[in-house]
Amino acid sequence: MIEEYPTSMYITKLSTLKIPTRKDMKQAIWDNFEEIFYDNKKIELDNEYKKIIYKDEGQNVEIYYKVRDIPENSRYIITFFPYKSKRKQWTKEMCRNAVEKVLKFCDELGDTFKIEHEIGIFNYERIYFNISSSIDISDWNLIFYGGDVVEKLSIQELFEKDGYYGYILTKIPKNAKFYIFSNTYEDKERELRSILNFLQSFGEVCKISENKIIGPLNIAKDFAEKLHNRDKCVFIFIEKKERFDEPYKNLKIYYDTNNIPSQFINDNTIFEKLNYPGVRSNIILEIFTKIGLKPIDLRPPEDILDVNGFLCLSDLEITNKKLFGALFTYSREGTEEEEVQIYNDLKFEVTKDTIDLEDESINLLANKINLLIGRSINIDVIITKEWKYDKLKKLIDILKQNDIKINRVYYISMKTSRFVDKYLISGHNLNVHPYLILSNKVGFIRTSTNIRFYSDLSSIYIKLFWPKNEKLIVKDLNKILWLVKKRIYRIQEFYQLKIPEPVKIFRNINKMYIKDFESTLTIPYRLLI
Amino acid sequence: MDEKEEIGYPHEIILFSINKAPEIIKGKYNNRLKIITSLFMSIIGKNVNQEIEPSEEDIFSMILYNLKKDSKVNITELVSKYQNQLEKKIRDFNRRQSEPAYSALEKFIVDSIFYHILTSELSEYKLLPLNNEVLLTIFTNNEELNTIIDSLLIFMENKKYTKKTEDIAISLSNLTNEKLIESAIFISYRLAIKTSYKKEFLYSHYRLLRKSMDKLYKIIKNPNLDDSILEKIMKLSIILYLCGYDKSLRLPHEEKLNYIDKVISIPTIIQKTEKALDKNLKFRHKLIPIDINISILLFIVLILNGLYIVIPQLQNLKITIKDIPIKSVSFPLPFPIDAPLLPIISTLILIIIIKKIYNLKENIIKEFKGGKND
Repeated sequence: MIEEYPTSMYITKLSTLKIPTRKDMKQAIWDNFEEIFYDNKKIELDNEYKKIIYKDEGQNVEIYYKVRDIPENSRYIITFFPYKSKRKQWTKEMCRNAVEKVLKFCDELGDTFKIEHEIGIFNYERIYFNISSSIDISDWNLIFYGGDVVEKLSIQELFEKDGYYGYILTKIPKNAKFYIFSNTYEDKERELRSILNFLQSFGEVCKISENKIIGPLNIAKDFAEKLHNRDKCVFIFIEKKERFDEPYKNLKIYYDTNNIPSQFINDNTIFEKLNYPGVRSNIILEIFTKIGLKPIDLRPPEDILDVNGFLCLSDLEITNKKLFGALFTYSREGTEEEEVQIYNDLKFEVTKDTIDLEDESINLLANKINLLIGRSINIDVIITKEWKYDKLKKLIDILKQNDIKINRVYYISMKTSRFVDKYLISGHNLNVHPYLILSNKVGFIRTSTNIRFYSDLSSIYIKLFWPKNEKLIVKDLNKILWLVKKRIYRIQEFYQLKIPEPVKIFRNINKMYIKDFESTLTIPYRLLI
Repeated sequence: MDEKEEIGYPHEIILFSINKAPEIIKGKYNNRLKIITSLFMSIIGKNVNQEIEPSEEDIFSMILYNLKKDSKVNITELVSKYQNQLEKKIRDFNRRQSEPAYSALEKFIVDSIFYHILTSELSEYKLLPLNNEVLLTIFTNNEELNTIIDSLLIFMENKKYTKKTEDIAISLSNLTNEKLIESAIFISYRLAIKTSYKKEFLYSHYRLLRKSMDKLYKIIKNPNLDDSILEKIMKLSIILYLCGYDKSLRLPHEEKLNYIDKVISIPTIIQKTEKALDKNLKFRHKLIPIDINISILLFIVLILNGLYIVIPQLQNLKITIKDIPIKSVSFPLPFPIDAPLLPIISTLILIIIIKKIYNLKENIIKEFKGGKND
């Protein structure tokens, strides 16, 4: 059995008195590459865009490289990653091919290479994923609430079951009330028969008017407002994708802020994909999770339960608005409603990777977090941009005065130092997630172990931001991996799940149209999955 | 009596727990479940090797772990650690007055009830300060928690019970909070022994037991039971042991029946008889249940006969009977009879009494069958 898998990441220790800047290091690498690959016909260097073009078997793959320093450990890392233009969609095969080519390029570069700079010589060494440094989630437990009895199966047991989607569907409650709206299919009920029959097996498809079960989009809001009993109700919107975007963004925020679960389904999914058991499972699991009758839960491994939950803080990238979000999610299963809050009265500056809140806003944010959590508790915090240390310390101190104790703060990034690895394309056990701990503070973990999209190719970057005197350990990576895989309601893409749920929720909010509101907007967490 | 329904269920659960214990202790289950399973085995005298040590953060697991028979640790320290946590939660709620703080406190108290019973039964320590006024005020509107705390106060703190005790028995039997059921089964059993409301509390005990058993019996064969269900089964098994069900397990069948008759009686028949009598009798003497109308009539008969014997003049009062009226038709006698008036009246009253007693019996039978319309 192969124990080591090469990656497209190299690392060097900085032993020189002076330390080059990132920009200098990047230039030095490029200059050296021009020498290293001078005679190599497979490799072409695009000087203008600083891209490497790797030619092999008639296929060209563009590769870009990034340089990052780890100052606390005096190290520099270089990573190579395939370049994809935003407009182009890559198939699974194209992704796989790109990974192979990047790794081949690294093979050409060798396991070690030297970069000569006026400050000194830097010896870079290639990093390998070692299977002994990995987290195996095979025996993590899935809890099924929807059947006659609460059942438990390990991840391995579930995925080894013949027809596991069928098993999952037997564990779904049958008590939802579905209200269907569509402009395209208002009078074409027959065309939607497959989805209506499917939904009917999990509850009741309710009438919108005396003889209609599909209502037009423009009555949906009024209908919701007049609906007397909203218990176990969900509003389903079915539309063509091209007619979808605008109403979707407007309606979604209305329903979410009014605590009405809603699900938008592209008609193409119904006509072309509804026969796939994975698609059916995804749809129904998401709907019931939004209703608050979560059919499946991924129980956290016991050794990570040293905190009651996770607080995630993130700025929001919504046009013309400077918004900041906070959400809190419990680590143990419970009946407590989890909430996401969006604030428009915090003042902060954002650069690409960092955020800087004004002093007064730190106090305000602490008060808001205090109200959001509402009890004495021990928590971990996840930040999506690097904070100024003193500001973060101030926030932690104020929260501590209110009996909200911060155990650890993690900075998580999907874009930092992206690299590929052979593990992803080697037909390995999908439950095994290799990781790298590069320093006391910094590590990477491969959260997605299967390829579907381009975004699945990289690992995620984790930095232990606080406390200063503690080291990043495997338990920290376990916590992050659990937050990724707890999105089990996306069962069809379970092995491609990459992003921790709280971070994903902020990404979903970024897609919504948020109108003006006073100070704080509160939305139930479950509606934003 | 259906043997399986009345005796079998608790034993099935205890046997299930005994058989499942080795798998739980060695298998991939959470630490709390492993510890509670090991405690159950220790209580029934079967110590098992258990390598798991409780996390110091989990006060309940720490308590469970140290309640085992072979534990050398004095749990005083744990009890005070527990009480500190409780105080902290109460303070937190009082300061914030928020829903999450209330939920956290409520959950803590609900969990505590079971551990309070265990520490009280298995050691000399009591976990929950049941008389804590602040706590009682916070949960004034939580009816179920109030009922449990009240009932614990009656049987553990010797609080005087009043007429309200009967209401507590009814509330216990109607309990819906799943997390309180095991504790309520135990409390109702103990109160049946301790108070004069034996039948009321036994009724609650059996009703709750039946409710739990009905649910669990259907699912114990499922190989994929979640830790939460297994924890419930282990808790129930401990409670059943504390109620003495294990003792009957070792006895022959006839002895089991004797045991049940002697120790816990058969509540359903008593309950139904009492209910039927209550409904049909207007007045109940403490010792002899009797209808007030029948008592009055009997009293009149006695007076009339007494007067007839004591006062000779009354013996001269006679009535001449020429015919006997039955409904609207009169049947003439062959010759008129001079009968003494008072004995005649007494005899008529006696006939009415016999009719009334017959009706009473009929009504009670109807009640048993399930209502007068049957």
